[in-house]
Amino acid sequence: MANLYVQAMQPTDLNRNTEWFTYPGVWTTYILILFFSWLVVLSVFGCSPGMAWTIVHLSHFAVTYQFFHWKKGTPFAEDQGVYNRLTWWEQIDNGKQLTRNRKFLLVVPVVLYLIASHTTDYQHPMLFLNTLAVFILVVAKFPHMHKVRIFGINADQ
Amino acid sequence: MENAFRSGILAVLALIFISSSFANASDSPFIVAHKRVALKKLNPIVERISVSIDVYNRGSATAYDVTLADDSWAQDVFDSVIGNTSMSWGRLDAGSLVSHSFEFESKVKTVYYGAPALITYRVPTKSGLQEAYSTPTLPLKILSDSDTGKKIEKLKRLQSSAPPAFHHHRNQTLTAVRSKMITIPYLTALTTYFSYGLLFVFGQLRDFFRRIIDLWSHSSLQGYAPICLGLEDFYIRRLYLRIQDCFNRPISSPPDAWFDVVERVSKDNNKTLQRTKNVSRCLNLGSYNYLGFAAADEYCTPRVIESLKRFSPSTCSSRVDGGTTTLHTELEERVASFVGKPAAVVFGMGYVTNSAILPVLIGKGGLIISDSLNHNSIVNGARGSGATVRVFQHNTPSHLEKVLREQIADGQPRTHRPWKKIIIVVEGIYSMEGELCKLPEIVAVCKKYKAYVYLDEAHSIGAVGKTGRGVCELLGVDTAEVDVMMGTFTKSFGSCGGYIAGSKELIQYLKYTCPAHLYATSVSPPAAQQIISSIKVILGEDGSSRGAQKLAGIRENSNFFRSELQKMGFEVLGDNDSPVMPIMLYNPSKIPAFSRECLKRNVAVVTVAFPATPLLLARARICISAAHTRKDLIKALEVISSVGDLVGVKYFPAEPNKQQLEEGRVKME
Repeated sequence: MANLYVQAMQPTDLNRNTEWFTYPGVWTTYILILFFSWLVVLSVFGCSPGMAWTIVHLSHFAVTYQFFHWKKGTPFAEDQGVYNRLTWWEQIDNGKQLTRNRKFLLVVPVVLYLIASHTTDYQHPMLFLNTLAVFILVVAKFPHMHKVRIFGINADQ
Repeated sequence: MENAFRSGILAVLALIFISSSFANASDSPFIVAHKRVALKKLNPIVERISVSIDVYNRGSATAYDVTLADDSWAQDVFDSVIGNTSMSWGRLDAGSLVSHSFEFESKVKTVYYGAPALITYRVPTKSGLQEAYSTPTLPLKILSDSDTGKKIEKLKRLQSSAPPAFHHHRNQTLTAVRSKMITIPYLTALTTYFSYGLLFVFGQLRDFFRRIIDLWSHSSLQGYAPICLGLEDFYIRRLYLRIQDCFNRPISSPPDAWFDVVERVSKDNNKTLQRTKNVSRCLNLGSYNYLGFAAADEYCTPRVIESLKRFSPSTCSSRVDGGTTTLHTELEERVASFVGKPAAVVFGMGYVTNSAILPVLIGKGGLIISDSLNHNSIVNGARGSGATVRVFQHNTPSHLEKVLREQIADGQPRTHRPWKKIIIVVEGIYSMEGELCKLPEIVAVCKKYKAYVYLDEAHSIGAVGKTGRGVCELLGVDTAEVDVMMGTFTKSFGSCGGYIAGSKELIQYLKYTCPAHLYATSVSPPAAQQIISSIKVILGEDGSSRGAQKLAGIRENSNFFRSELQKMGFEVLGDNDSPVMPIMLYNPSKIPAFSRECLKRNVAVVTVAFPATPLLLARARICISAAHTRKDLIKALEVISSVGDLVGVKYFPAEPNKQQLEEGRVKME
């Protein structure tokens, strides 16, 4: 593993907030973090594997919704606020829809949902919560929802 | 029938109209050539390179005496197996296509960078031979199983013996440039993402608790809007302030090879820092002191003090009011002749030179295509000009060509009219990468599509090239081919200010319109004298050979330092002959570790993190100076090696075999 090298091409993305997502190793890190958090939840709470997956799924929903679809702008001031009206999801790949990164990020919550539902044997109330979470996340990632603010939620003043 | 007749006439008129608008292109042949290089594996050991070049006459007239010459295959390295690198045809009719192909075997392991093939042809209506270039190809790693030691020797011999000449339009490539992509160990990439994630999570948690605590406290600013919107200052507060002591270190002596760094202490965990009275004498590896003019110089300093007494520290007015002294006119003449252009204009500040000139050169309706890693001053100037800005992948002429073609075909946004002007902005040496620009290829692409070239030589003027004239001299590009040459005096000349050099008409226009010339204070007279004196020293006009010694010194120092670092196993970016060498750190925790440990051992390095570099590619940037002696460099190497072991930044194995393999990636002719 130590001898495995990857090459990093300089991307043309000027937005420093999102350009890190185009480098090699991001997808693997994302999946590994989810897996390790499942292990941590399992060891801390001592619950069944299915319950642990549900907890991971729901906290993943909360975290990714907050950072991808709620928070707007960039965490530094060098770009003079050109992205202040865009959430992180709207900023990736310069707003181009249906790129590889976006498809990957769309698939991850769906896969998590399937794992969580399967390991809890599709019982309520976990099924309801999981379905609600994946529904919200998937709808938020549709190309049609680019820059759409429903009922003015999270719109600017 | 009548309708068909009318529509027929309209179609004919439209055709005439359209073809007359292409009048320039349609009455002469237009040669387009595509070069394709592919690797063929005959058996597991033998590999052949097959090259095929298609030449196509896209114009509407016939081209005569078409000759194709592909000189980019050095005979020492490549054996011709089938076919010839040159070919000629008597005529090439309009719209027709000819192909030529040949095959090679290579003797060494190398990365081949596509150099264009040259096609010359005759047009009956014009007197001289016309020239066209094939599209360059992307790097192609050619493997062979010859002995590592022998091939490295062979490559070193080639590197030193190949001619660096580049004449008018002939595109022979350079041996000095050796750019490679950043290679990260996979595990390091994963751990770096994880570290940043952890820092981010902790920052968010602290912000969350801070917001809860602030709810309970009373603020005297009820009703005012917050100064920072949203998460604008998150990076500064939660990541940068934690390691604040590694940046902005104050010094208390001139930035020579050794200087005094003031020590600072913090009582509240790096939120605020207080200066102490202690100074430590450290080796300076961070200043842009390329030729050693930053400290007192035996020729320059007496003359600077004399002009200080004669002219006073500041002219106290702008150039057009009362701020042009004899020093300023002499400075502009000297800079113009040094750089190799007819005229030059000088400004008081380097950053302002870029950000105030670009809005004057181009406006709405124009197109600026800039390299993705250009300096902030260029980005600022481009944004302020109102022109459309596009970026191309760093130092990739093929991507530049792709972007140019796309943009020219599209035209202006919404109206799709042709662009009023296209300017390509590149830098000579990129300060965060230490890489040289691929100037010959980029100039070739620009000439093909009739775009202007703007070259920012802030780091390369005075530091590279045989006589110090910058990247054009080093890479063999004629200065008449670069339209606007910009540079600063802060790096190699030990002064302050920037210049723009170009044709007489351009400089005259700039003097009428540029706000930095009309309203900003002119260069301080002692600073101008420093530049004049340092140019005299570099050119040897002071009567000694110190200039040539300095130039040779910086080249030897940089090459020595870079090769030693690479032998130790560090990942060092940048090309040979470039005095800037970034050592990759990647992990955010290694940035303060490297910086602090080096400072403890009395070596001052500059570490660069986000957002000056991409998030993951944090680095420690070392700038070599001609003032560093061999002893200084050896001490620096020892310190960096021990700190590198401690911190764990030696990402490549340090065996000599593997390092020679890395060195084997040179650009071949």
